[in-house]
Amino acid sequence: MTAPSALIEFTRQRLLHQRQLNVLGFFLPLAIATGVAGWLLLGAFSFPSLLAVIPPVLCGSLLIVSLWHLGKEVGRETVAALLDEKTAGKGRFLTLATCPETQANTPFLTLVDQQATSKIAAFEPARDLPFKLDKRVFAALLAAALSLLILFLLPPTLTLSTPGPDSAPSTLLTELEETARTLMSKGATPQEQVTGAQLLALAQELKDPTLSPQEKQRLIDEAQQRMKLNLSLPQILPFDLKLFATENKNNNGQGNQGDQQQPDNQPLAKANQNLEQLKKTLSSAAGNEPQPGPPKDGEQKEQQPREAGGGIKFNMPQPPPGKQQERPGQEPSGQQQKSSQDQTPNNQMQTAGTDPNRPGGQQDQGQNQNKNGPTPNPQQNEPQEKGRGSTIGGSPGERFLQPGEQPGGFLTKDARFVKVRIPVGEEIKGESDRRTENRGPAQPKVPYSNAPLKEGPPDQAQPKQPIPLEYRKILQ
Amino acid sequence: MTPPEDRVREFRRLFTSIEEEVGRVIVGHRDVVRKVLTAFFAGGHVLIEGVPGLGKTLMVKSLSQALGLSFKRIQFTPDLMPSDIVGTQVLADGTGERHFEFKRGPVFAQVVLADEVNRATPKTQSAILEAMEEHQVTVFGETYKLDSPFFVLATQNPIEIEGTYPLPEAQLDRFFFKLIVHPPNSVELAEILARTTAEARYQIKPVLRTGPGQALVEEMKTLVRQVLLAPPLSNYVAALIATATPGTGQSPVAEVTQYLRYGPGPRGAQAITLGAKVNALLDGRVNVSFEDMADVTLPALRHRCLLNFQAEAENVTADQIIELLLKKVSKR
Repeated sequence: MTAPSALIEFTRQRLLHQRQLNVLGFFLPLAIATGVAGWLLLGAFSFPSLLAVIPPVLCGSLLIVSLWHLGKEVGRETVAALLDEKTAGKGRFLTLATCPETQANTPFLTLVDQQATSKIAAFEPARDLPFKLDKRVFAALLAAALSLLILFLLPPTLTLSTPGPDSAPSTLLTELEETARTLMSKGATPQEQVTGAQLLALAQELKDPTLSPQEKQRLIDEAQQRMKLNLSLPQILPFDLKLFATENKNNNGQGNQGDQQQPDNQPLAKANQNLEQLKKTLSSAAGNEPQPGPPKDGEQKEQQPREAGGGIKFNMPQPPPGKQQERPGQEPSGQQQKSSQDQTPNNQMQTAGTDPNRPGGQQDQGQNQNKNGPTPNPQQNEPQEKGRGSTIGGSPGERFLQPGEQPGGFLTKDARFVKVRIPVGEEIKGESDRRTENRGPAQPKVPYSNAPLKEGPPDQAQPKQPIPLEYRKILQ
Repeated sequence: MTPPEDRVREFRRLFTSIEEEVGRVIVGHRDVVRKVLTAFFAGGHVLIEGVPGLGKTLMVKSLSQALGLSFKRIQFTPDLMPSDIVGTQVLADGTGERHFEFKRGPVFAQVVLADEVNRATPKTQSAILEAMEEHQVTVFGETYKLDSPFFVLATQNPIEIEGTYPLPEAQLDRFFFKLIVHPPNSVELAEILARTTAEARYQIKPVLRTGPGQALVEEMKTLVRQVLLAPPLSNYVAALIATATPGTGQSPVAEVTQYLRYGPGPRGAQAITLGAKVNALLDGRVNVSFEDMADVTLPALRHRCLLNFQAEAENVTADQIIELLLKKVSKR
């Protein structure tokens, strides 16, 4: 460079690049750090995505504005003053850079130009304008590094890898929803469609973050119960399913249709698998202990369903003489081992209903089929009141079977069961008068329920169902 | 046409020659001598403040001799009349007819020393001040032009206050520089004694000859005005003046509003600019720099910044406020 104007332009470019790098070095780490922090926190906490996007967008905007403003900041006047300072130009470069064009060719300006040219040799860009990172750049880099380090060292509960204690894995829920929709497809059976709708509703409920893991597990258990019920007994559906009646007659009390999965029913298996995985996830998240193993023979009392303060009393048919020795509620070991979740009353109700050895599933041949009214037998209900819910006394539930019907399962044609939730109820355990709030679903004394069959055909107008004796006191 | 570099070189040579020549007679006061010469070549007048016996009269007299210019001294007293300065018409009797003849006063010189100007009445002061501004005098309705160059150097005695008439603010503003002459130190005093009490005394050799010297002085003054002033520098001067003016709301310096009654006006900006140009020429440049301006800001503004009562009560001087301004006003 031999001309002062060229030196001014060269110095301006160099200064501009230096400041641009400093601006980039200041805003870019902050933008990256805020973006990564927002992405990490977005996965760990639930807040609007917009909040996570605002900081990096703000840093990016400030970066663009600063770069644009630099072009104005680093002007010829600034550079010329800097050159005067570095070369002891004493205003020569400043005069050359800012003098109006009317004096461009005057002898005096030419003399200034000549004197400034003699100063060019004393200027070395590398020595006089070394590239130095601004202190703010180091501060920004350090702040970005520290923030990222802190975020990556956060406790596992706050990272993406570990879900919150009350949140079900979204992938499993998604799979469950897909399975439910598959079951609800046009080609599915009505039972499967009902099951699919229930599973879909369950998936939506599980997404509720206000529910505790215990409540979600209970919902999953209930859903599994309903799934087994739906698939094992298609008569439960409101429309006429006489077409399927022969299938149930051939069951011969096996009744474990819920457990006898069709070999090609993959959506159902997948749905059940998803539900099991969800339960495991919720258990691990809540820190619940795994469910105890199947009840042993001597632990019959512990397996009995929890008595509810109210609920529906049920009359269950007496077991056949040969099998009356068996304690009601005791499930075959084989069946109990099938699932580790047989402790819940729902499961007991379900499996008991399908257990051929249980009283409810026994054939009533030779029994006095009582088709009387639905008034429950108080004697039969006494064992239930004593907390031995599955102890069925009294006469067998003959009234639940119509002539010619096979006692395939405890839920026969037109049978229905009712689950009652008492918001604030009383739970009497044993002989204690202790009353506790019962906010969970109503737990019937027996794991299954039954309602009196109407005497006429199904489409006949139903008579008013009498209120069970146990309810009359409460409802009075 | 003489190239600019030759003109600059010649200017520097003459200036330094005059300065050295005056320095042979005046001991010390190098900066005062330089500022006086700066004001002279910038076309302004100077007010010097100092105690008696510091060589103020000798300095002006030596300056005039070195410049080859005519010199007159006016001692201002309370009874001095304006006609004593500008002249008067006297009745002359020649060729048998009586007529009035204008007798020129001492103001009709190229270098005038107005000694202790604050001792004269305001009416008398106005006579010399009119001459300074207009370069002419009006006597009995007739205007008489003064010689060129015309340079007034006024002095003030800071000790004697009784019986004095301080110059009004409007009159003070007409002086280019106000210089303060400090008493000499011991070394300088010894030198003064050696020079003034010996038998032989140095005689000033004129650097510029009478007659042709006047044209040269005019050319040097023209060169001063041709020095380039970049726009950032003129903006800096304007910002300086605006900052030093109280009551306009533009001053970021709190002391200006607190201690100043009046601030400098456009004449202050002109004094800074022209004085900086002379400094640039002395440095061999034809462009002004910020350092040139900083050197002349104090003498140019100290008599233009009028202090209020609070400043006088707190012993705050104008110099302190101007130095504060130089620190706080940004150059960009």
